[in-house]
Amino acid sequence: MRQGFRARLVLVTTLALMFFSVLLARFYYVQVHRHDELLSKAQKKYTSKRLSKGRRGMIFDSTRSPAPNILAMTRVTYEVFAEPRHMGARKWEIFEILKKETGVSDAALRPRFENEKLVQVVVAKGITIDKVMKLREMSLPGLHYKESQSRFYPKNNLASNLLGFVSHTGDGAMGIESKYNKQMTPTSGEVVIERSRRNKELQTLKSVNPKDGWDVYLTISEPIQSFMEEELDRLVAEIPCKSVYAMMTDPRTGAILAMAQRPTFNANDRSTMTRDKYANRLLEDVFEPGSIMKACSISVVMGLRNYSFNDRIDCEDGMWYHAGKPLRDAGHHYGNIPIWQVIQKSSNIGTAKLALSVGKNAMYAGLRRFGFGERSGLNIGTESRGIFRHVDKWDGLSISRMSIGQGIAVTVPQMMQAWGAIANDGNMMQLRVVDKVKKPDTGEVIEYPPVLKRRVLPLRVTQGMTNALKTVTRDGGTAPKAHVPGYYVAGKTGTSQKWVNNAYSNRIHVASFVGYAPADNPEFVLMIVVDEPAYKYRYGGTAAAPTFRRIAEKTLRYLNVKPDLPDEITDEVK
Amino acid sequence: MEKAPYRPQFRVIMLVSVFLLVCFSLPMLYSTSAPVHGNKYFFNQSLFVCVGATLAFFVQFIDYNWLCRNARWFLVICCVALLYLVLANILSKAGYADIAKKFPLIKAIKGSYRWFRIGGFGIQPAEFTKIALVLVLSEYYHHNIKRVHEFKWGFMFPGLIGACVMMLIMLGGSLSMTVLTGTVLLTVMFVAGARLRWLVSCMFLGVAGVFAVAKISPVRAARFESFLTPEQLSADKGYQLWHSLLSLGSGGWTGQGFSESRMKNEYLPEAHTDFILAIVGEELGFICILMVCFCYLVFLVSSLRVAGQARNVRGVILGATLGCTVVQHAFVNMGVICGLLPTTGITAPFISYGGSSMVSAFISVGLLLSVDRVTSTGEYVPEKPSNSHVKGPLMLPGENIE
Repeated sequence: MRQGFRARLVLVTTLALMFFSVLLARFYYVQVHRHDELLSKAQKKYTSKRLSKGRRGMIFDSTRSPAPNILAMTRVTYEVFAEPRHMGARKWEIFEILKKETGVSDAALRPRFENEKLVQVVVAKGITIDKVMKLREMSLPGLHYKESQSRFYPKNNLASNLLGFVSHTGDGAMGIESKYNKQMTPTSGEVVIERSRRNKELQTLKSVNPKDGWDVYLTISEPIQSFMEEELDRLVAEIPCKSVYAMMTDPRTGAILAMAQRPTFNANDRSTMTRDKYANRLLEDVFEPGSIMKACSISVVMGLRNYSFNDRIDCEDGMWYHAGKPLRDAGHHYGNIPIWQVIQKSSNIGTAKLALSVGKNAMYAGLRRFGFGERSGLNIGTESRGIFRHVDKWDGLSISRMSIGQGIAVTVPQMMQAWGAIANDGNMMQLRVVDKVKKPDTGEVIEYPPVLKRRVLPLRVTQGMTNALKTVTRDGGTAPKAHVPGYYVAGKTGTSQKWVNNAYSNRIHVASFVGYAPADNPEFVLMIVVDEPAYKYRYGGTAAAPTFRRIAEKTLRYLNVKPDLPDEITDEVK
Repeated sequence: MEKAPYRPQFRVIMLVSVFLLVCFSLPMLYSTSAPVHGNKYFFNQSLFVCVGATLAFFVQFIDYNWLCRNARWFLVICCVALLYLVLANILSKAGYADIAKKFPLIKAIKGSYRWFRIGGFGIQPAEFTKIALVLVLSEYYHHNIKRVHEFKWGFMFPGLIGACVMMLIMLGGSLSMTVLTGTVLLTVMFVAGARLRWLVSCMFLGVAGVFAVAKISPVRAARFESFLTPEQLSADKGYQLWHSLLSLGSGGWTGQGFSESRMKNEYLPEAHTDFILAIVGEELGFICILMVCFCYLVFLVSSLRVAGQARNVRGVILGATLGCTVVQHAFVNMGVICGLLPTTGITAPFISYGGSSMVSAFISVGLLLSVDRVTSTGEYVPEKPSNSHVKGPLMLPGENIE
């Protein structure tokens, strides 16, 4: 008996050993051989990464007290999701609460609640945080909230062409938003946790806080910008025209205080956004400046020749032939007048003669020094260089035409920069619109201080030019409508014919006005350009000057500038 | 017949291996179930261990010869219990689930009735039926050992008894338990000395039968498919096996450290019962799995030696089969968690949570101790079969060969 059983029991033991060897081989294969692979796959199951977004940098204006105005900000809104299956008996009660709190219509929500197959339904998007907090406090079952960020421009279309907008991905697509996208983009935070299958947090492996993007502080002054926006709206309402550009800078620092255009858009409303509206046309469009150029060209002459502004020049009898072509003074017969009056009356003949006295090379060099034919270096988007042919390509007529602003095309910033030099005692400042960028959490600041681009004119010339330009806005000048009561305003009108069908049109014009106030100690240079105004309003003195006056008046009052023409104040009071 | 000297150390070794397994099981069970279920399972399991150990302690004082002689009644009780469950199952499958629900003492778990519920604890009669079957068959072979080489006496009759029991378990809806009962049956026959060719052909038949059933039943077909490709089907059917593999694989040689398992956080279903060794593998690594296997093997060998010392056929067959049964469970369980065998609900003896398996494993130990105790008294009285058609002196296998 023993032998028989023993043999079988030994066989059982052997079999068991064999089976267990196979088993252990399999365990070795799973546990040791595939360890790395299976461990990483397991970790993928129980670790979860939560990304948290920081806030995109805001855009502020230059106001400092009481606080900077917000021009662009990121709004945190919530998407509300519901899981009707998990609401049990409270389903319809919650339905009513959701309807009340989120304002979703009954018709939109009811079918989604009735459908038993749906696991999760979207209730509403763009719900503000206070409403979400209210819903959360009620601790209703089966509700989830997902944070999302959207860009919001609290002032709607104020400076919208400068600010630009963001694309659906949240990246800047135009303007400051695009140019400073890198700085304003937040770095996202990351929390890596280990979780149970039901999403209970077990432990935190890694936690990186999100960092908000840098805030951008512009040199734009929101109140001044809004005066400008208001007045441009009024202008386009009063005067039929194709488009309007306006820009105001501080000549002492080159800071742009306001810039606006019509047509424009509202970045909060995608339906207003078309290419022709959202383009920053102040930088992209060029126009023939007309008479506003005379201030620059005569300054060039005065800087090179030892003339006095009282020296007389023969402006002929309203018509003067140069290089075989007639040059007219629009029906006026000025005769022999002093140079300051050439400016006041905007004589084409006088200006051309003065330009000829220095020659075309000197004139070309002088205007180049004023910044024509080169980009202003504002660096906030696509910018045109204007059209300013090289002197080698000038014909005999060019010098007489360029000096009065014909045959040359400029952009608004170029002209602002040149006029800034005249207003700022000959010092041409680099235009700038971004004052500083600031890191909101650490307060770290990168400043963009004013930069002197170059000295363009001697003080003698700028003072004389300012005195001459003051007369433009007084009785006898071309733009008495630009006169601001109580202040000396130096300015110049421009009326240029547009080049249509290979000829200068008599019907289609660009009317403009540039000026600075107070003339002797200017706070700002302001330029208004009206493109293709109705024929009635073709002159700079009628189309642009009144708007100039209104904006200048409001701005001077806002800046608390002391009037330098006291007599007139009393006159007005009387 | 020569009388081999009795050696008590095998009993000690067997008890030590059980002791080690149980001591290892309780902290592991706590670690596995605490994050999700708290203390509940730990305390229950401790209670089961106490009940099981107490039972084992008392069972060893019962003479297994007496037990075997009366085992048929025990088997009858078990079969009645199984029938009760089968009835409930058939009713619920046939569309009378409401009536089945009204049956006292039982409760459907995952759609089928395999458990009695008494006082909050589940009792799986199939576990105890196996022990009863072993007892009955030991008694049978004790009386028919002379005719064990004959097909009719050595294979057919015991096979029929076993087949009836298996049929009941199968109708109760537990294929894995049926298969395990089948292996118990084959083990008894093998130890008793039935002809190998019957057993082997029977085994093949069984395997084919399992495949057939697996093919017919869509649930089981899916299980089988997921067993072959757990990763591809990890979203639903292969979920459990794949997560078991993930947790084992996370362990490596030395594991993530005690209580450091991640998969126990509801990722691995049944982590505290059938799949506890997967968590062991994750927390303590391959080395610990090796040690657990070693313990089981030690238990097997020592229980076989205890059985081998028995003074009569009953003892040998009873002891050897019970030892084998326990280790078979362990083997199947471990085969399942590492993907060697298709997923079934078999617990790891002494380690997995579960009252029935713990108590039945301890009863097996108690019976082995009983065999050992009777052997150690040294009295061997070849008793006259009281209830047998075999006349004349008892013949043991091997005797007629000599």
